[in-house]
Amino acid sequence: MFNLQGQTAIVSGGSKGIGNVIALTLGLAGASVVIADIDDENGKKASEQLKNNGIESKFIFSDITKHLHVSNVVETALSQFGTVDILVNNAGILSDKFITDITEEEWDDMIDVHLKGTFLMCRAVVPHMIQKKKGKIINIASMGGLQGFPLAGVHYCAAKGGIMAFTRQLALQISQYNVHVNCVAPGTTITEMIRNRSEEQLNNIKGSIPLKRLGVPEDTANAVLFLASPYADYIVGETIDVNGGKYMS
Amino acid sequence: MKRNFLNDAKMFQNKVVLITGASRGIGRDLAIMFAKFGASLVLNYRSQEQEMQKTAESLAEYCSDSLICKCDVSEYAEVKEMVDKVISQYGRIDVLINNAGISLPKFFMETNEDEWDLMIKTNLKSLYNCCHNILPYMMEKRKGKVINMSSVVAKSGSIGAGVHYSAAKAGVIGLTKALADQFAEYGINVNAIAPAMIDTEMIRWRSPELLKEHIEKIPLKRLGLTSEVSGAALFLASEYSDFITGYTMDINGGMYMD
Repeated sequence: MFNLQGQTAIVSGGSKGIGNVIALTLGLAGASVVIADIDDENGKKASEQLKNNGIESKFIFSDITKHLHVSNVVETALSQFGTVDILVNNAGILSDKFITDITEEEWDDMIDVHLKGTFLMCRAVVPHMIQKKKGKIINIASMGGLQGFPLAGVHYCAAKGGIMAFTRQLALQISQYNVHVNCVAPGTTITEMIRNRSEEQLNNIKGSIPLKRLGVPEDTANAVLFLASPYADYIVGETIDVNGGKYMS
Repeated sequence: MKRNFLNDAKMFQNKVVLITGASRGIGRDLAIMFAKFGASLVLNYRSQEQEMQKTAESLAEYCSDSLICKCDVSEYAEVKEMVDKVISQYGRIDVLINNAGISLPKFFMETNEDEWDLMIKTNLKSLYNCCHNILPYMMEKRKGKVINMSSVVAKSGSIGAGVHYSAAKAGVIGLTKALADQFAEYGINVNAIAPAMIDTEMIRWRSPELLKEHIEKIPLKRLGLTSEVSGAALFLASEYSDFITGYTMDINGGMYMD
């Protein structure tokens, strides 16, 4: 149903969690996958895992909040694979601190990883995509950017909301070059990120979701794959809600 | 979850997909798309006999299993009769695509009460008729996918489209969310698609000049293809979207982003 053979994808934060499954999913559909991550050990492992699945893959250590790191990712991807067709801005961090407990540094960090990281990655990739008159950029937002979200801080929700606004505006500006920019907004998803939640907390969340389960990384990854595919070629500036019916926008 | 993306061409084999308004336009393309993926098709149409025939012919190379049902989906009794027939033949309906609809692009003050009623009946009550008759069979299987065709004008308003059309299509979104909420516990996903400026006859009420002007306003600078709607329906009908429900997918080239 989905065939991305001959295409190259960059997935930021692809070493773990949802990003790791996105990398694998795009790879299983035939894409070569560059994993950009600050987690050296897991990044290498993730890239090996892809290779073991017959997927052409490369791990590039990078802090996406630093523009030199980001240009290195894009330049390396281009020199090794010759093209970047898909960019998935997935890297993120989660915190559920109450506003008065958030330090200024934590605020900056949250905004930098999500928003500045997305900005820098897009800024580095967009010229290539415009030149090719082809490209798919998929940003991972969150239900927390759309409505109040259990167990998330204001800085997280603000950053995720910002990603959706960023997506719409970039879509408006570069759709004319056949570069597609969209979002996927997952609800609470079972990953290491929520490992410190109690069973009771998770059960409460589950009970509030119409489909009565938490999301799994595959749910988000499949939506990313759809957006990366030609089936979604008339969709831009859109956010796909993957939340079991918890929030219907 | 099967995740063999390069080799799932028979994903809808043994699945019964009912498409209303399948004689032309987006409906025809939906039929072809699902036929390519192995579905057993129930194709509904109301009056376009010749067009329906054309759809059936273009399917023939992919699909050996289709049932064509002539009925007016805005009439409850006719829908019930159609569903009874489908169930007696297939015993199940896995995917329902409420696609049938009319458009009467007119200024509000030029529409009369009969046209209002006809619009609501054809574009909204038809969904009640189909869902009310078909959902019990999905509940039985504790699985099912419903996809409803809305429109960008449900959200954006439009000088061109009728007020009644916009209202009915907004109703489709409300119905989608409420059904999604009520039927989630039965494993049934209900989603909507809100397309705009898809290259079909329905958008051809514009003069060529006006059409050009409208295309200029679309960020992607082109019309959408019917396959870009049916491809989305394929995703929403597939197991790849099992955690998506109550969602309205905008397919509009960036014309409206909410």
